[in-house]
Amino acid sequence: MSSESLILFFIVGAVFVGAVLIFSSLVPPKSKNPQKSEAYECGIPTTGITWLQFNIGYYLFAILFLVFDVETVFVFPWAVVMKELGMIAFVEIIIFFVILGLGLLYAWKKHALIWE
Amino acid sequence: MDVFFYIAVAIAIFSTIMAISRRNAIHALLYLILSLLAVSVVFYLLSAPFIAALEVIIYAGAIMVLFIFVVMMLNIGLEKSMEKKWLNPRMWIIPSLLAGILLVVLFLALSNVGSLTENKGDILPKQVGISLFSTYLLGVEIAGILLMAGVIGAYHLSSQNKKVTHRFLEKK
Amino acid sequence: MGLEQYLLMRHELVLTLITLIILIAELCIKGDNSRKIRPFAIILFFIATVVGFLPLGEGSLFGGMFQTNGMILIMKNVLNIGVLIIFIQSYTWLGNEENKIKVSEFFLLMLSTLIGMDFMISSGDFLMFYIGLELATIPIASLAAYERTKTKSAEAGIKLILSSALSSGIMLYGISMLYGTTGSIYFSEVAKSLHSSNLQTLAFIFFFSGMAFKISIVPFHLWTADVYEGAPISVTSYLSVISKGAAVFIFVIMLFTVFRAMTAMWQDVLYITSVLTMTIGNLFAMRQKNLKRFLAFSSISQAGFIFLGMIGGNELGMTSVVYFMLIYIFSNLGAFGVVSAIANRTGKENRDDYDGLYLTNPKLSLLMMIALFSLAGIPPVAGFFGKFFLFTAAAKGGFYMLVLIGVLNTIISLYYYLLVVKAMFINKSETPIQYFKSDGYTRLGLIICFAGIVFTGLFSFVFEYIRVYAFGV
Repeated sequence: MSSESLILFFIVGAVFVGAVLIFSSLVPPKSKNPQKSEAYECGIPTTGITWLQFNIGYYLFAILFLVFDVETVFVFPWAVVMKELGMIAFVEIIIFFVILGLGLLYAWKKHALIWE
Repeated sequence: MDVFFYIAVAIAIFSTIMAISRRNAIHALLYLILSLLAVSVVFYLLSAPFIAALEVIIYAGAIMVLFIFVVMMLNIGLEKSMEKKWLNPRMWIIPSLLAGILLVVLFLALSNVGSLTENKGDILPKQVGISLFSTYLLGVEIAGILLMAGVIGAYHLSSQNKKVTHRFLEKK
Repeated sequence: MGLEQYLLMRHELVLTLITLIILIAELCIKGDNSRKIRPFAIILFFIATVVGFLPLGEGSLFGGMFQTNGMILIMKNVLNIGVLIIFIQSYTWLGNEENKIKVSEFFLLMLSTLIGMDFMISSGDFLMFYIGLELATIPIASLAAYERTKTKSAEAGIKLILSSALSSGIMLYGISMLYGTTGSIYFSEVAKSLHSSNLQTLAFIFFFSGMAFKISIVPFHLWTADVYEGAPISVTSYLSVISKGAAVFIFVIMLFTVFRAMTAMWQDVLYITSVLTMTIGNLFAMRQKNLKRFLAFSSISQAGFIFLGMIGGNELGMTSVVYFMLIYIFSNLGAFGVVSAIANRTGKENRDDYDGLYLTNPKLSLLMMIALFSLAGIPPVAGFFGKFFLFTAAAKGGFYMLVLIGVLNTIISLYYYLLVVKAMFINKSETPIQYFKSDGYTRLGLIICFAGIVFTGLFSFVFEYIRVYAFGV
């Protein structure tokens, strides 16, 4: 993979996103009224502020996500060298998965994955 | 090359200082993201492209999500007009300008370095994988235990107590 | 390459296995009531402790990342004994109604921190050391916030995680400087290329600051009292004994091996901080009314005494540090056990509440007295010998002035330990704590502590046994 293609990729991405944004701001019919800028267009004026305290349940989901996000850091390099290192690395990653899988099972058993 | 390195480092240091000194948590987070991105560019310039990518995946992705949740959970309880003030262009123009500079630096660095595989100094995913799963094998397993303990600890801290009795039957 | 070489990590493997077994048991239990797990976990851990005492050779694994020898083995066993006592002591408290849905979490988190500490003590390079340290720290924070409906407990958790994150950051900075100047993260390589250049001195100071947070050395002690007060008593005793013990153990090993070339420099650092720690810890301890806070400050000043053993850099010093930690585990856990038994029953934690305790609960007061005497270092009990050997080690290194300051501080500490004894035995109270009969597990925990205090003081072979494996600079 040469860096020229990477740069090209960046540029194509930027141009594509930019073009879509500009196009969509030019084409559609425009209507301006205060209701339009509300967060929810349900007809009733919104009350209160949006900077509310969130339910702590979100935190649990986020941290579960984080744990398995960090897992990718270990799994990705393993996938690259799986063939070179062979059995030892395989056993190693299986142990790693079992430990983390037990953690996931724990969260499952505790109903942490259900939104209450 | 050196110039790029110093530019990225300067942005990293500046944005970290800004992140610490902002009164408003959201603005601080904006700078924190920038600082992490700058560090990622520094990693790239130090010929560790894989680590740079991981830095973006982990920090700029996951930890930002977490941080924002935590900030949202804090009781900021302010009047509505604050929202407009916080989204004032003055607040986001500097971080986005700096992020733009970082992008340019990254572009220039990419075009200078040439092909990634030809450059011998670069640490590629393969090398990271080999050292992670042969030399530092033990560290990976302990990290697994740490992550498991993290799941348990997080659940334990954030689970809601299920009500066993109806609230009218509870002792006052 | 045979599999039997992995037996060198026996402690860690057994602990990991136990943790996974408890986790699976928790998965298999139906419903929310995990109280049944307590005896199961204690028995499993008892087996692990016994297995830990089997003899084991020296050696290193994973290209020097993991190393073990007789001394490290003793250190791990000392920690295991402490954790076993804490598990037994917390049996009753875990049975409380509000804790019943999170019993196995207590064991799981504690065991995973213990795994981290064991790996940290046997680490052969800075990477392993750091991962072990993190594993030993992060779950503790959620344990400190165990009673999360209580504000103080939540405060303890957040204070602990923030201060330990800061200290880890500082320590990592120091480690990165060491790596920058020596080009290696392996202890043996770093030790070879250290030569007290300015940057390396700075690196040591940063590293020391990080460790000082964990051992709660003045001026890095500010989190201690609040966290100890807010956390549940079992977690507080864990923090004050096991966490601190593990940090002390790895610190003494690293001072004597990695930073060997900088001995003159770290002796200065240890000198100043140990004087500060002993004195300030003592002065603050005098003013405390809450017994948990009181024990927190007393444990700060004890950390200062531990530095007396390290500073000489001789093998007598290492022996006395480990020996003192063993005694400290028994004495401190004895004191915490009494406080915990009374707090569980009555919810009272203040010194004034203990007025006239001897008349109503003579056995508890006697045990508390012995534990406090041992902490203070009064001759017939084990604590005296512990302190005596620490002082001897410092004197052997030529630090006579420091020994004098240490002795003076012992006298100051006598005052506040005796205040509690006075409250129990001499003070009269209109409303003393009523007589109560503690249950079997609480008693067992207290009896082990009592036996430990007496046993380690009376029989010298414990000291000799540790001494065989000790080494100096």
